Parts: sequence; C-alpha cells; structure tokens
Amino acid sequence: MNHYKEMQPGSKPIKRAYVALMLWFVGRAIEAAARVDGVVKAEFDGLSPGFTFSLGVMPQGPTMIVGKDDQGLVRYRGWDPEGQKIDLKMKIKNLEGAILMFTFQESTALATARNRLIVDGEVPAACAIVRVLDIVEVYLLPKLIAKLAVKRYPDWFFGEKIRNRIRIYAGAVFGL
Amino acid sequence: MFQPQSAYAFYSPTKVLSGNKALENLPVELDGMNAVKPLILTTPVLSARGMEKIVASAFGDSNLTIGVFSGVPPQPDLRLIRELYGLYRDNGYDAIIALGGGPVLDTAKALNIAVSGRPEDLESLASGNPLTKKLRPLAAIMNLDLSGCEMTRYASLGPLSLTSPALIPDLMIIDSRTVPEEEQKTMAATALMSMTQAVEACLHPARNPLTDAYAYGATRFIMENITNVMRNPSDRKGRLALANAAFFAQTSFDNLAPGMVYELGMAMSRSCQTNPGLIMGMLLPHFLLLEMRKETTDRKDLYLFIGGPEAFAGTMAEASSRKAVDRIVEILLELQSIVADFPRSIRDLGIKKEDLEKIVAQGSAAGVRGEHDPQDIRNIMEKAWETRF
Repeated sequence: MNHYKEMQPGSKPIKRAYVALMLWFVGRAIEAAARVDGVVKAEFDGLSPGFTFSLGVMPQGPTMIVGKDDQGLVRYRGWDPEGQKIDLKMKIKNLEGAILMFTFQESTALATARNRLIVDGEVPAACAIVRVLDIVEVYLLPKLIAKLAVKRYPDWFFGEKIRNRIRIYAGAVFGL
Repeated sequence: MFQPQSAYAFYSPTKVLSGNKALENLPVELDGMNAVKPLILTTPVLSARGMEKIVASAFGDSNLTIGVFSGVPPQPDLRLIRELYGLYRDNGYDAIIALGGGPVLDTAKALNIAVSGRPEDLESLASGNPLTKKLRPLAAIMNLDLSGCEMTRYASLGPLSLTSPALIPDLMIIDSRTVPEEEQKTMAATALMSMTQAVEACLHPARNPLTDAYAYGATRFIMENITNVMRNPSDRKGRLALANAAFFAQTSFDNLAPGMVYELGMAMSRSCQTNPGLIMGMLLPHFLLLEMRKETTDRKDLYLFIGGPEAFAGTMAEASSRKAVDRIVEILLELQSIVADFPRSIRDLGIKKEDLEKIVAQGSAAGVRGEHDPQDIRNIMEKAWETRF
C-alpha cells in the first residue's frame, strides 16, 4: 500500500544515560542526607520499617531504589527492582518528562501537577519522599538552580548548609 | 441564581493532554488502554511538514512498533477504509492515532468502527443501527485546520453520515509541536467555527452548566488569542489556546443539537465550496442581532462569555447583549485588517443572492428546518449577504 510504513522508533541513549546518572547520584545523596540532615532523617523515621521506594522512568527505566534497612538506616539499593519489595513506586511517564525534572526546568511538585508522574503507593509516603527530594536538591544544587527545582527554597543557616552540602557530596560521590 | 436545571446530561469521555511534551505521554496512555501497536493516520501534507516524524519521535525509547499511513485524502471513501481495514488487521495493530483534523478524524473514526467489528458495520450505523461492539482506542492529535466535528460523535465518509457517542476519541493531545502555523485564513476559520459552536451553545435552550462551562472556556480562549495569533502566527501559546478552544467548543456543541448558524454555515459551504468557519463568522453577528430583537433567549450574560468578566461587570445590563455583538464585529474587522483576503461579507465568498433561496428551499439546511422559522433563516442570510463589515 502506498504511503504506508512500519517503524520502530529509535532510542535516546544520551538522555537515558544522563537521567540514569542523575538518579544514581540523587539516590546516593538521599542516603547521605538521611545521615546528615535531621529533617530528612525525621521524614524517613516517620515511614514504616523497611520502607522502600523507587523513582524511575517508564517504560523501562532507568530507576533508583532507596529504602530503610533492618537498623532503620536509609540505603541506596541500586537500579534493579527485580526481587525487591517496593512500597512506593514513583514513575515518570516518559524520558522527556524525566529530562525536564532532572535539568531542573520543572520541580517535582510541578511535574506532578503537569501529569508527568504516576505514584503507586501511599500518598502520605509519596509526599514525604517529595519533601526529601526537595531538601536533597537544595543541598546538591546552587541556589539559583535549586530555586527552580523546589517548591519553596528554605531559609537555612548558611554555614550549616555548606557543611551538610560537603558531607552529602562526599557521601554521594565517595560513599563516605 | 446559580442552580442547575432539574435534569440534564453531559457526556465527554475524552482524556485531554495539552502542553509542553504532551505528545510523549502517548506510549504510556496507549498502554493504559491495553494498546501496544498503534497505526498513525495522517495526510501527505502533514507528513511532508514533518509532523509524522515528531509523533514517531515521541515513541522513542518505548520499544513499541508503530505504523504510519500518510495518504489520507481530502475526501476519504469506503474503498480507503476497506484497504486500511486489511492493513490494520494483517499487521496486528490495536489502536489508531489520528494526526490532523477533518478527513483524518473521519477516516480514523470509520476505520475504528470497521476494525472493532466488521466493515459492514459502517453502513449499518449509517442506516441508524447502533454500534454493538466497544471500539478500539482512538487518539486524536489536534491542529488548527479543523472541520469542527473532530472531537464529537459525528463523522462523514462520502455519502455515509456516522453518528455514535462511541466515535468520540478516547484521548486528545494538543502539543505546540503538532499545532503548527497554518495559513492565517485557515486558523481564523477554525477559530470562528469554534466561536460559533460556543456562542450557539451559550444560547441553546437545552444548555446546561457543563455546556456553559465548556462554552465559556472556548469563547475566552478565542477572544483573548485570535487576533494575537493572526498578527503573530508563531505565537505557540496562542495557537495552543485556539486548539484548546476547538476542543471546548466541540464538546459543548456535541452535547446539544447543532445551532442555526452552524447548520447554515455547513449548508452554504457545501453549495459554494468555501470554508464553513468563514461563513459562520459572517452569519454570527446577524444571528445574535435577531436573537436580541426577538428577545427569545433568557441569556442575559452573553457578554460575560464574549467580553470577559471585567468588561461584563463594567457594562449596564441593558447594553450587555449589544456589546457582545459589537465585540464580535470588532474581531471580524480586526481579522479583515490582519488576514489577507478575509471576507467582508458572504458575498465575498462566492455566494450568489439567488443561491440563498435555494439553500432554504432545497433543504440543504435540512437540520435547521422545523427548529427555526424559515423566515428567520432567510433574514439572516439576506442580511449577511447585503452587509459588508
């Protein structure tokens, strides 16, 4: 038949790699922030024992998984959900949506409002994780960019913010 | 008093995704409708403009296989549907994506009837038998070259007129990349048709709070954006607003019987082969003046829809309806100054005076006969023929 073709649209390897890197980094930063920042620790303490959540891109990842271990410590658990019991799944509907979030053109709250995320799990837990993500982004990003990425930029004591930022970066990059 | 009528019904099954990167949601939305292999239908013109590639790129990283048929003609027929039926079945497609308005949606709706049952169901539906099978998922990607029926229960295929609520697309996507700049006159005609559908919904005796809400959205989107888009067609937000307006207007229109101006516009368009939106735009002020003179409508707040809340609040109640007509005429005058060859009267569209009587007499405006006084129809057409804005 004229004017007809079947095609398999290609992949977007560079965008996928960027999002995968960001998820890896943010996952490890959450682990570090739970040790360093009292508010992040309190958010996780309020969640059920062994609570695990994933944040990933539909339909086939990349994904990051973060959860509490037996001692209640927050751990980055890699990218593979296979065999892990996940209480809260936050799925970004497509790679372009993830790029908007991880290039900080849209905050998590804005992305949710714009129908870019699907949440499978308890809403209070999802709200807690969004608050944690906001705090971690404030630590990881310069103020100018972080203001775009979070709903409200917190008014923190400068010295404490820098001290915590160094410890979170050290934790995320070197696993310290 | 803000109170609903004692009883009303409203139906709109469409999920709407509008805005930046809305297109990229297609794979996940199709997955939610248990569809994994869509067939995209579009026209050679849209394909040549790269629209098909933009939609295909939205499926990047989805692992889905898609089919593209880019040969939808301006007048699709049953033979095309039979060919597409074979193509759809033989290649295992399970959803249809209509990229573009008018004939593309007509083809998509007709094909959906055929592939969800049998091709014979088309003739059966056209003869008045209801559809018995649930249709496959249908997604529509809107632009600004529309026939006015894309998101409604209506479709036409050559001599067949198809009507069923099941034909309304399940999903509509309005993404600025797929609402490209069209010729100014085409965009103006689409906006004027939406305007007519919305204004007639406002004044319809069977209107309800939901048709009002949709009509209000449509009129505000149009009035606040139409001249900006015509002056600056690269205004992406404005084009997006006009495409949204079309959906709003069509949804309110779909829930009420077609109004007099719409029916007359379609009938006159058939007789003179002109874009019906332009004709409707020329007829609308005369229709409103007639309604005002006859005081048949109990609607006193039309200017709220046309002029917006601030202008409405600053207008004396008795002057409100007249201001609504004046505002529409102002828009028409502005369009004349911006859009090349924009008509000043239906005369400029090639309609002859002797045709007017023929349109009434031959019943080409069949839908309006019986509901409206033929003398009113004649008056409106004559006024629109004689008056040059």
